[in-house]
Amino acid sequence: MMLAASCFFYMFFKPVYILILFFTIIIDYYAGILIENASGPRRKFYLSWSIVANLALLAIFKYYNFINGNIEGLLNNFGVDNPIPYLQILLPIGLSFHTFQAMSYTIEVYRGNQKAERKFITYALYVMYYPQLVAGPIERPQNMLPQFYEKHNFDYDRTISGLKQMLWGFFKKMVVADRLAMFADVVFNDPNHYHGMPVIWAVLFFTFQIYCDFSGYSDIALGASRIMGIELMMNFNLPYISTTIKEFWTRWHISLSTWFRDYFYISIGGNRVSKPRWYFNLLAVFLVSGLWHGANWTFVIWGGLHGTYQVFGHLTANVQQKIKDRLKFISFLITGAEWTFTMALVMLAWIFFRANNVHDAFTIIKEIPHIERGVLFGIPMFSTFFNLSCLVAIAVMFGVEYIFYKQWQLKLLPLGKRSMATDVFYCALLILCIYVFGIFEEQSFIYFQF
Amino acid sequence: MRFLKFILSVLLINAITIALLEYGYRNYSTQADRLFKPYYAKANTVETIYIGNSHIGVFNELFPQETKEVGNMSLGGQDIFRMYLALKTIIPQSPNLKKIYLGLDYDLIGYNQCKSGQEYIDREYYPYTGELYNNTMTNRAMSMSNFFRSNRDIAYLFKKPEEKKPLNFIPVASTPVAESNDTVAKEISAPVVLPHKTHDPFMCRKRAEEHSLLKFKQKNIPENLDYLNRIVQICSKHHIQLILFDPPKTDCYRANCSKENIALAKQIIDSFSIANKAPYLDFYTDTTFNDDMFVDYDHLNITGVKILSNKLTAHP
Repeated sequence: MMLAASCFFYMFFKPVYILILFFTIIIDYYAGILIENASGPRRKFYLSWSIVANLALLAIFKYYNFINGNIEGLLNNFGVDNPIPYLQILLPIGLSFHTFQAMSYTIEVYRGNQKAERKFITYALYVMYYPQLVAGPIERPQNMLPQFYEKHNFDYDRTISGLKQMLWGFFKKMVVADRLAMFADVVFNDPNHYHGMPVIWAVLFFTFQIYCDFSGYSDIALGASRIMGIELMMNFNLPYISTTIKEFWTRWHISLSTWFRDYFYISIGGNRVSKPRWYFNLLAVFLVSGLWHGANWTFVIWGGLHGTYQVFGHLTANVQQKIKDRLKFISFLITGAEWTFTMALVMLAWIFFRANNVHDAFTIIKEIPHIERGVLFGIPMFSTFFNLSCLVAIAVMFGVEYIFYKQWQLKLLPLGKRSMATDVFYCALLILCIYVFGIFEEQSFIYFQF
Repeated sequence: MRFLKFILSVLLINAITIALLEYGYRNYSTQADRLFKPYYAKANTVETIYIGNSHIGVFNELFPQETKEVGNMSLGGQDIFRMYLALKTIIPQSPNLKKIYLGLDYDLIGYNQCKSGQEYIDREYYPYTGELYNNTMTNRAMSMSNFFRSNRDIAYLFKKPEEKKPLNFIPVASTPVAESNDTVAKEISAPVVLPHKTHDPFMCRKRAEEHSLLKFKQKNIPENLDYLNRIVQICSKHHIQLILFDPPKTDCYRANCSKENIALAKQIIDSFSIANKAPYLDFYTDTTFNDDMFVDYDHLNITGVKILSNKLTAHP
């Protein structure tokens, strides 16, 4: 039933692409069984075979034209025409997500942490499970597969909890993210015409747009799945309260960062190597993570920046600690400065993530200091009220999440176990807020493109 | 059972709230209401229509709403698609209509309201025109809602009853703003007060850049030419003379406009005018209009409007 729903969901986009999905499912399903049954070097052979097949799909659909474009640019510099044709294909929706999820299965079987799934339907559902098929969280077989075998009876508290999380996700997407996108899109799509304050606001708004867009989707996925009795892993944990980049990556897109940690970073040696090699590993992980997001140099630079931040953080760790020790008496100021610095670094990287190309990203950075006298927001087509509404939306979203986060930390929040009146009020209020303040023009989720 | 109770309670609360909102906004007067309703009241007698954006809206100073022979279908920020929809709707209901003056600022040829975050205008026109630029199910549903047609003007709920009465027909000469709850409608529902004359070069540059650079997108040109073409065809079918014109602007405004975009638009409009035999009167650089004839950088005052009107009517 769930598999049929997942197929229907996926085929809504481009029906023929379900064949690609089935190709990876069949390959990895048999690879899992073969790895489990084999011994010695054959296990590695089957694993490599599965990984190559998955990466080949990514290479063809996601990176072929990108690589070809770069070859063309290189050849053109020498006055040579590029003989390699471009592929006229659309990127299958959520390709990077389900490919990585499939790869995590074969790797875990290889490592002996997961038994090979013998039921084809169950394995297919693991890859295709529709709440998280197109934009994650990228799940692990140890978490998902056992849940498919459990009996899920209707549970009122669980269902209400799921509904509430879904509604909160819709609120973040439609009230906050899409509102902020209206402003940010104008500047990022036309960076040559704006400078100073509008650019600063656009960067700030995009910073929160991408959080609300992506974490909003994750909330919807987690909530929808919880209603059906399947618990997915948490994907975001208030990343913008981080005071270091390292902490940021323990709170942002957790399913992807842990994927890279477990399957790539550790595989290339992690931190159990010489220091220069460790720094190289860190950089490599973030560069690949950038490339995972999209076939564009902007994403590579975004990843590279985060890798550099991490390396720099490790290089200066001792100095930072000494400063903190000396200024203990104003620790709150130090924490504030750390938070500001971290946010500034994150926002700088987001410029590359959002810009349409590298040139645009540098234009935006270049235009930030050119603040004009008397200009607060600087885009005539947006009224001051609209701009203020964006700030209020951010404040409300952040405030609510922070309060819930604190309650959860202090164990004051019995999730999903409140009186019916409270639940009704909460849900009705969220629906009403979306109705009154939501943006209803079609805006896709940013991470659907990956 | 408990879950059913929960769902029904949530649905009931939201249904009641939405119904109350719809009821509360039943008399809300949108920009489109203020254009179409007064026009229909005199559609049988109208011989001349002025249509365009706020630059043409100022003709109301000369021909107030009571003028039975002249109709003004101008609206702040109105794009060519909206003009096409309005004309398509009202021409068949205007038996004595002989002439249409269509204010075609150069920058309008590259401008699209819906693509500039002003889709709410689309919904306001819908009850009259029955067409939407984005004909999606959601947009159609929103167009049928009083609350959404008001652009979710929350401030309206807190107005006194006497302030909620429909306003007289006065197009607005204010800069259109993007869709947002409450804000847009707040600005447009206020009676028009043309801005006081100012000589702030900075604001002048901002206005010129907004029109000729930020809102002007070359990719919109083919689509707008198509709408213009349709307007020409409708006029031709009903034997109505169509006169396109670009209202004058101040020196400051012109100096700050994008030369490249204006030159491109001029070339395209000239070609269109010749190909379709639709006269195009260009007052953009007309030196008759000095700064004293403007209320701001691009809107004429009553003196300016009189001169422009004389020049327009002088055209055979």
